[in-house]
Amino acid sequence: MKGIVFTEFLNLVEAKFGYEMVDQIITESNLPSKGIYTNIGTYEHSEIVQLVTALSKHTNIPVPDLLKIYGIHFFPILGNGYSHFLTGVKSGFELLESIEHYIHVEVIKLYPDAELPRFENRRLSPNVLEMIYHSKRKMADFAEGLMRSAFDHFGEKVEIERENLEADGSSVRFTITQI
Amino acid sequence: MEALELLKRRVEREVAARKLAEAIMEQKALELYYANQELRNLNGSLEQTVAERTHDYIAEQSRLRSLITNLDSGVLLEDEHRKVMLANQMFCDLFNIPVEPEMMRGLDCTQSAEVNKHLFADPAQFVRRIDELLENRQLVTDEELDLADGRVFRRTYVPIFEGNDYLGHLWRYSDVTDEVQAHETLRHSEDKYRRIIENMELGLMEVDNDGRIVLPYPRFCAMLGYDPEELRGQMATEILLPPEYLPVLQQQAVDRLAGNAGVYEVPIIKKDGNLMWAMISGAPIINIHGTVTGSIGIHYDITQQKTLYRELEESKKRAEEAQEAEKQFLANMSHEIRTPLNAIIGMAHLLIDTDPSEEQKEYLSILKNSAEMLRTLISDVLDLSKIRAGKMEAQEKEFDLVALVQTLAKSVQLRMESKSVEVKADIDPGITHLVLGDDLLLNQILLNLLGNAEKFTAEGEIGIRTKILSEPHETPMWVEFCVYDTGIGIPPEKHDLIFQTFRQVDGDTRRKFGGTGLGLAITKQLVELQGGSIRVESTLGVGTQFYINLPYLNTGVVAEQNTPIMEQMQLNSDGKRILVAEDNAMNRKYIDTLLRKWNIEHFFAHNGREAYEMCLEDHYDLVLMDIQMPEMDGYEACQAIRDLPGLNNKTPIIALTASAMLSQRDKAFFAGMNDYLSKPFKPLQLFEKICLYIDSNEIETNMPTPQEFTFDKRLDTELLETMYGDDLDYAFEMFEAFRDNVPKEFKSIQPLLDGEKWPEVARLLHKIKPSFGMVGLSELEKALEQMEQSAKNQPNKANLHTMFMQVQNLFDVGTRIIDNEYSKLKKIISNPTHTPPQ
Repeated sequence: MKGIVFTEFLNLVEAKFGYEMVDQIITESNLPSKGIYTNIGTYEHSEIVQLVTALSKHTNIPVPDLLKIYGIHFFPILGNGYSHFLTGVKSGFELLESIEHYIHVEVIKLYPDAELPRFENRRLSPNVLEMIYHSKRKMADFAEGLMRSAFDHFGEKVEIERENLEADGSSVRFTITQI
Repeated sequence: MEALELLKRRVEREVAARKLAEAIMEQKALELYYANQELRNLNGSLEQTVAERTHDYIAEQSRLRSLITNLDSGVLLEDEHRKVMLANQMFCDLFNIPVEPEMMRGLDCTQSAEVNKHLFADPAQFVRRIDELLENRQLVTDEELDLADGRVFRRTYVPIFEGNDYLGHLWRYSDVTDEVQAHETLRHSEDKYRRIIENMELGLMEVDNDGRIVLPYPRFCAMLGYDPEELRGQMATEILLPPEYLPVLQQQAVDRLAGNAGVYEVPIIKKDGNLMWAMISGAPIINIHGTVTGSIGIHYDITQQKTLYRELEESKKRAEEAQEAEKQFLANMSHEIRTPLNAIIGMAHLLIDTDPSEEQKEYLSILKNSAEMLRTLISDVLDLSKIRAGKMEAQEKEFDLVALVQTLAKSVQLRMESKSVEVKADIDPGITHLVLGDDLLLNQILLNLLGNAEKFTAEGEIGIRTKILSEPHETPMWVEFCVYDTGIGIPPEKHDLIFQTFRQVDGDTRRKFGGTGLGLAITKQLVELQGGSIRVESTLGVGTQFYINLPYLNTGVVAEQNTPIMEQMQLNSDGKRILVAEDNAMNRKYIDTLLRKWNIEHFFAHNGREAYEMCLEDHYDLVLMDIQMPEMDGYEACQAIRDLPGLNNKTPIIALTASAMLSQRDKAFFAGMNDYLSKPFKPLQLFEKICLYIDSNEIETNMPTPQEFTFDKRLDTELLETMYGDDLDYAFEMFEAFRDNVPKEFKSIQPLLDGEKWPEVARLLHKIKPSFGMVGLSELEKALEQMEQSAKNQPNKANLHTMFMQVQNLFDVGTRIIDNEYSKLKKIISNPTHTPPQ
């Protein structure tokens, strides 16, 4: 997992709960990196899972909610850092539909070792988009947060329905309807 | 304190993160550096490649430019806006443009057609065509353009495209005035000759390589009755040629494609269905590139000649058939023509015996001589026609060439004794072997030539010289015979003539020397029949030499200087007695001589009854029994003897039969005879039979003294040789016996014939017949046999008289020969050196 995911997560925790919380979840978790992250590094996925789980324990906020919140928080950061992906994109659907065949292709060019989720898109109607998420990381909540934040960015209102296709959450169908 | 610890941990994390980041950055920077380095290298090599390619391109362009510049044609390259990109000197020269070609680059060509149109014979057409070409943008090659000044240009227009983009075009002009003129001249002269040929009753037609008619000329069409349009485009062979001649045309087509001309004759079907025979001279049509594009045929009507030729051929065939028939007729006429002539001659002889007056004798003599001359003439004619009918063939057999020549010379010598002419034989000592060839033909040839020599030589010398022409061991061996004389000679201008039939040196010769004029013609044919040649050398008043060259095969058998020996037989026959029943005196003489020689006691009975009576009286150890005898024949006598008690009923009896016919043999056995011997038998055969039945068979042989003697070739020498071998004493006795007995008996035939006593005639003939065989007159024996059969089976007066004339004639000749042989034999055996065999 790219370093930016960790640094931004810890920034968010510090902003919401203070550095003590940051120090606490790093110290409690058994992290190979010892909690030392930079944006340009790459780290084990299990580290973010440990950090989120630790946070949930201290805050009594369930992990899915934390991930969803983090997703919402993370989208604008991506938007600032990688604004060219948004250039010329006019809607949330357009952006989502460009992930698989444009954004992720470009990401792989920059970070050949990146492990990315896979999406299957299907327009069920002009304002309904079916998006199926596949990932061993099982971070559909994080994805949902990103989606919601994206639609907010375009000032669009949507209803997002979720259905687990695999019980462990490695395959999830999102049905997004524009309101 | 807590806060301080927290801060401390935070700072530591921040510092660690920064260091980590720096390390990553450093790593990335290094990677970047290497990537940059790589890029720089790549760029460098790219630049080099580009430089190389550019250089190649420029070189290529320069080559093309130089090629175009130096091309033997004017070239103008324009871009899509009709601006000059390239022009060469030739182009400027062709269009009289007074600037360097390089100066033309970039010039606008949109008006060039207008500017230059005055150069062309049809300016408007020139401009129109240029516009058309530019409009169509299609490749057009080798258009010919006539110029106002008489020159001819050839133009090619090449549009240039890259993909679908039109980039411009290229003009190429060349001056082909000379080429076109040469072509024109050629075409004119071809036309001229075609017109000439067309006016010469010769029809021309051109076909393509498939045989399709391309150009039928008017005369050709007129010959066949077609309109040109009816022929054009047709397959020539299908419409014009009878199918059976297709192979001829196919062969010709093959020759044409190979570029060869040929002359042949075929019939052509005219429009009206009739045939026209044409002699066709065909030649390939070859275009300027040397490719055969078809062929042209010149047809000459030879129908009349063909018809004439066919008629001639037919009449020639008819004439040949007639000639053949004539030859056959003549060859078969021998008997029919000779028989009445023999009658005439015979009658003349008889008339002389009827005591005619002197005047009548003279008439008879003329009659006889004329008839004889006529017979010679006819014999010659018949010989000639036999040769021409191919009925005479050279036979190959072994013979002694030296002996033949010597004998001939000797016989001529005998004849020439009355004249003061010397006869010589000069023989090449190299001829030591028997040769393989036709001795009879050689004999006849040399006889003819010697006969001529005799006839035309009153004094001096005649002779034969024999010389081997070929190298030793060469095959065949060529022998030259030269028959020469010191006679009257032959004038040079007649040398060729004398070998022609019915030609003599002149009419005077015929009157003076007689003859048919066929002798030399026959001689020449006989020589040629054997693959030889004949020529003559002669000087008037000095003499003549005939040279004959003949091929012989050397047999490798050394020629005996003497006639073959006969085994001398001795028989231990003490106390043995043989009875011989034989009515023919000659046969008795023959058997008597043999038995005496073998020291066998023997007794003769003159007919069957006498034999029977003798058997009543005495015992005999063997009976030799002739079958046909007067009083009692052999069968009857045999049966009678077998029926006798005692004495001779077990005595072996051997039948002496005239022929080996099975019926006679069976009859002999049926009558109780033990064996038979067919006549004429050879001494050895008789000897063996006697040995078989007389119980003593020690045979001793010894070599008799060799004797040098050859019987006259007109006699059956083979038979004589077998019977007498080298026993000349025996032969002499037989010849003497013949002379003593036979002529007397022969004379009694005539009265019997006159009295029409046919059975007696037959019996007499049967009795005297074997005597002739004994002296080698086999032909006469056969004639007598025929006459006997005729008298016995179907007596016809006229027929028998005619036959007798012939027999009489043969008899006259035969007796003369026998007389001669008798003299020769007498001379030899009376010679003191001669030792008769024991």
